[in-house]
Amino acid sequence: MAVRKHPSFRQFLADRGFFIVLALTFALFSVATDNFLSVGNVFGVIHSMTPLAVMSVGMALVVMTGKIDISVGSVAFLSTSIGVIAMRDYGFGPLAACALTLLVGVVCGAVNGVLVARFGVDPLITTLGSMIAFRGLGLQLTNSVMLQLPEATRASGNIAVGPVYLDILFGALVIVGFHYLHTRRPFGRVLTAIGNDVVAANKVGLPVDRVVFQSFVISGLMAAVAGTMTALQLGAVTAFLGQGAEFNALAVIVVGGISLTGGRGNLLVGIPLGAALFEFIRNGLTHLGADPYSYRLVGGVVIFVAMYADAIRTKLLASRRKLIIDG
Amino acid sequence: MSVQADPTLPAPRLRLRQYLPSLILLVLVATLLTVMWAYMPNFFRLNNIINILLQASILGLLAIGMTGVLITGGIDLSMPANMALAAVLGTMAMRSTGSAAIGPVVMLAVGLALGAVNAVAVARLKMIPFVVTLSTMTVVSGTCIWITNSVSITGLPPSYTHTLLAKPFGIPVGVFAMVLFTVIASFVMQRCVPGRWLYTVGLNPRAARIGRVPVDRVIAGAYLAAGLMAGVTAVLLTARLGSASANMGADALTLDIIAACVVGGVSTFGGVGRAYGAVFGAILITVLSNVMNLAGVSFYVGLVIKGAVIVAFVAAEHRWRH
Repeated sequence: MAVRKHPSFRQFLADRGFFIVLALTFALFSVATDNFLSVGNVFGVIHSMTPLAVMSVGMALVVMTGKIDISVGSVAFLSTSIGVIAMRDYGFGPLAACALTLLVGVVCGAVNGVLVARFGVDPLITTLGSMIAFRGLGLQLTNSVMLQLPEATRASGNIAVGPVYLDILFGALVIVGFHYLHTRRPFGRVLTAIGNDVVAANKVGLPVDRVVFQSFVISGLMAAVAGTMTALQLGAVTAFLGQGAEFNALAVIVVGGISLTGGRGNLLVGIPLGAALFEFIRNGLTHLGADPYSYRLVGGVVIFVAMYADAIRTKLLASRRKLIIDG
Repeated sequence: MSVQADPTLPAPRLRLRQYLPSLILLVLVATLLTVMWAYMPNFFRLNNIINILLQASILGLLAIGMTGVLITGGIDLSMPANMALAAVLGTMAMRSTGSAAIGPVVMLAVGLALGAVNAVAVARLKMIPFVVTLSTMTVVSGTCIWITNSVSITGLPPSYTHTLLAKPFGIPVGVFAMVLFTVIASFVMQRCVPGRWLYTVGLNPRAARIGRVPVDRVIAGAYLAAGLMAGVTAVLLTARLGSASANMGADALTLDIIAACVVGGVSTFGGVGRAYGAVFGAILITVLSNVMNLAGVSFYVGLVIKGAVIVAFVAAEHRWRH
């Protein structure tokens, strides 16, 4: 396959297509509905997407290494369940319960990390198994009933400064922090190196196993943080907390232009915009009065298109590196 | 005349390592069967064994389809969802026309069509199998819930259930189907050229391409076959349940299918595995579910145990192969 001298239309679509889709979606819903384009609604959408963005940014580190963690939704559920049970039955204060929740997230991430980095189990199978196992454990502990948060903590998820909710600021801080970690710290550079070529990373003596392990731990931790934020927003932990969240997080990552083959992507731009696209579509459909059952379908189609763009990008890059044997 | 051993291969040690997973599997089966015998002496009666096989047939048929995909190095998470949509559409077709013959045709066609979507996305558009099938799973199960409004669809023609629940020679049609498809799949995969291509593609796609194997078509074929098996399963399961619903494609079933394949010696890294192994794995998973039921283990803890079994087997496989 010859390398084209001028940027082709396909490449333009692959590189910039996502922004076009976001702008078009925003414009379409603004014109088609009355209340979509208002300060309150826009901040409301950002408010409700923040937990997803926080979860995605943790998972994105794993994806950067070319691996995957689909247990994040279950980790969010299991960790918050344990936190709420600790408050209800064992007299934990809100802060101690929060710390316990995060600790459970770290432990869950460490279990995945050990299996992948130490025992060399396929990350997909590992996290598929732990996804179901963690949720099973959580359902067993909670008897699959809804657990209310104590009165005192319930409102804290929706504190706002003017139109800006507190957790939006927190989420922004997390994303900027992770972007710094990814682009400016040795840890982030090793992540990218592993994603680009794990064999080469091993040969030059980078601590591949340790960094992969750490990325899974961080992914578990951020899943627990996201779970806590969701629970605070809802005021309760339901048996459905985090169900399907792994899919949404993956969608955010792919739509945000972070390659699932690893090594490529920008957290600062990709994660917030990827999450925004999904929430704006969902919110816009609600304003249009669409059938709630159709959201999954529309979301699925959007991620499918985003993945196709990713596949084109990977193919273009590979042909530039002349790695493909033309079939 | 004996064949001279190749001195470059460290054959004996490799052999032992290769068979270790099967040995562990045998020990596990023996333990399970002993537990069954202790708890329930009637377990080994012919009737009960046929019942277990019938229970396992749904999982076994899906596992056969999954085996082909896993051998190419891919994965198909959308199989249960595809099965549910095929069952729902087929049942709706039968209810509106009143003809029993149209049901299986629609179910197989829907299964094949959904398999074709996966096939095009993976083989032609070069998308990552896991994410493709995750998104088809979401879209398909979303569609299924949308169509049915989460209500199960009844009103099957009596001749449909009557034919498929028949027991010629005392053996249910479902068991016959499982045996038949195991034989067909094993024959195609071990004795036919496209079947051998499947392993080549899974072991080393670049080498296969250089060797003029039509890699894309082989991969597409595997996903089509998986879709077809989802359709076949839909036909049998609808008859057994007497209705079709979106719940047929629950997430836990995906785990069971992968568990069956992994326990049956199919590698998730591609290139290794047999159809009969996966069917054997399906029977084992079914017995395991029964034992856990009997021992009063809750469904949720059962999920934890199954998750752990899968991960343990894959970890063990990785250790022994490398």
